[in-house]
Amino acid sequence: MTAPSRPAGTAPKVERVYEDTTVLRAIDERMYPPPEPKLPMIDASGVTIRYGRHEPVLDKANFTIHSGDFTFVLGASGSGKTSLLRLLFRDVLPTEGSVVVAGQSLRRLRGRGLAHFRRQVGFVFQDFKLLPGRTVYENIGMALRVTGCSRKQVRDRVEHILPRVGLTHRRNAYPAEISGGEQQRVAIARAMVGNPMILLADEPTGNLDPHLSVAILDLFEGFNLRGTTVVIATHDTATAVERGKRVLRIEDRKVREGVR
Amino acid sequence: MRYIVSEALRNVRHGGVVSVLAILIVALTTILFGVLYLVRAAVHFELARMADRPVVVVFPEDRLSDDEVRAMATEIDGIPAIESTQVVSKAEALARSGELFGEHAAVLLEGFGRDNPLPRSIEVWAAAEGPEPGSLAALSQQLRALSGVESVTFEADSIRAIGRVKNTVMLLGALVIVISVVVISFSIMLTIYARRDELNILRLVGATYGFIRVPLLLQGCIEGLLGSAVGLGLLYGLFRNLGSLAGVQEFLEPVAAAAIVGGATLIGMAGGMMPMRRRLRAVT
Ligand SMILES: Nc1ncnc2c1ncn2[C@@H]1O[C@H](COP(=O)(O)OP(=O)(O)O)[C@@H](O)[C@H]1O
Ligand SMILES: [Mg+2]
Repeated sequence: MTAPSRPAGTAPKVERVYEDTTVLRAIDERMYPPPEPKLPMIDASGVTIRYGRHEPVLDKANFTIHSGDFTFVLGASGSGKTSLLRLLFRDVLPTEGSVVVAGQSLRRLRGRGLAHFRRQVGFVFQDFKLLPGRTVYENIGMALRVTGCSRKQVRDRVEHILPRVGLTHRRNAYPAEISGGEQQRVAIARAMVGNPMILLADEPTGNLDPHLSVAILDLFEGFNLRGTTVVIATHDTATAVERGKRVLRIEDRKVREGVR
Repeated sequence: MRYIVSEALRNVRHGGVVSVLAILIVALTTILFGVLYLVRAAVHFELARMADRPVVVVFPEDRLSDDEVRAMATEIDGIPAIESTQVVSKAEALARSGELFGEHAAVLLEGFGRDNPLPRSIEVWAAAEGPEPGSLAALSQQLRALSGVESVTFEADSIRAIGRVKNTVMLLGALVIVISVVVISFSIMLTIYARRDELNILRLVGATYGFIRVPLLLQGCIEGLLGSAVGLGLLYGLFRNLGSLAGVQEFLEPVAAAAIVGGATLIGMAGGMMPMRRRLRAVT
């Protein structure tokens, strides 16, 4: 993709060029230079996840993800990718072991502390989890509403992110009225609107056309360039490999480095 | 703030049948409570009237002289629980019954002539404003034991009856409040249940329990408020149409009406509070 040529002296029309993420990326890169040091952002050690009496999904697994990393978590269906992301979101607690995310030990988090933690971590759920009775705008704004942002702050930030996910013209639509791809971008916008330190995405390219997958991954890379640590779960090896990013794979209930 | 209110109103609107039910139950509660309150006012009035009458009447034996009867009255006056006594002579008793019979009195009195059949009596007023039925029985027992006392009557039955009415009123009131709280909390539980996916999502995007709870509490308040307003309206309609039949002269004074609305709002809040913690935790 290349940036469209435009007459000198005119401001870029965000509405028109939003599909071309390279432009936005270039703008974002200048506004938000990537951070220098690589600190551990996610550290899991000796983690076992077990649902009830079933076989454990992870068994004494270890992995570390650094600040500013872009990581794919690869694994066959049912291998435990979703469980791993939920672990990092403290939506499931490890049966054993410790998980530290953004300097916080997740085991002790609950109530208000948990709410505050989740505001620092954006999660794009596989099923999006949009509020059916709210518009696109309201769904995205909800992530800010819960933090106690004023209406104006909500408006400013949502207006800022809408063109970045190409949803400006859909702002007043309800989830049922938009396509799956659009719903997914609402979910991404909601995850990112609060400027979280970490973005977790569960199979974000799972059921998208190839060219849409590319656009979504470009979007994530854009966020990553602004300093957000990105973790993407996928069962699609090709998707993970093509980007040339770090890959962790879940195999035999362990988390291993690389594709194989 | 605007978010909270709009959210709560949204809950009430989307609550559908159950919210309407909750509001109606509160309305019913308000009506019942208003009626009880008005009845209670009547009961109080009755009690006050009774305080003007002697609580115990002692009839001395016929053989005692008037002086002896007066001495007995003085003795009774000395009992600590007793406020005052008054001796009613045979003539006074006759005169009183005369008042009672109005224009026919003259005929009656003439008929009796010299042989006045009415007994002398000592009327006794108790010290406390409203005599307790129990202590009254004890008092009459004490008076009956005095020498020269023929018999003692007291108004135990009517006082007991009024006491019973009073207790029943309180009990009904308490019951009705409990029912309201339960129904409102039920409506809010249903809201939580119906919206569990949404509430779950709110938790996932970083909402505190407080953020989720406050609109639900407010929902309870609104249901209480609307319910009591509707109830007061209906009660007023009842009063206008049936009040005079029931002997109720005045509608609730503004303070009482305000107290009912405020109380209902609090009841709504209590209803909102009850299911909260456990429910929310089970859901999210
Ligand atoms: N809530 C749950 N209760 C019981 N078993 C679960 C639960 N969630 C996931 N599992 C099981 O854990 C395993 C891993 O699931 P999941 O993390 O969803 O894998 P993936 O996302 O890689 O497909 C599967 O066998 C699944 O059936
Ligand atoms: Mg999964």
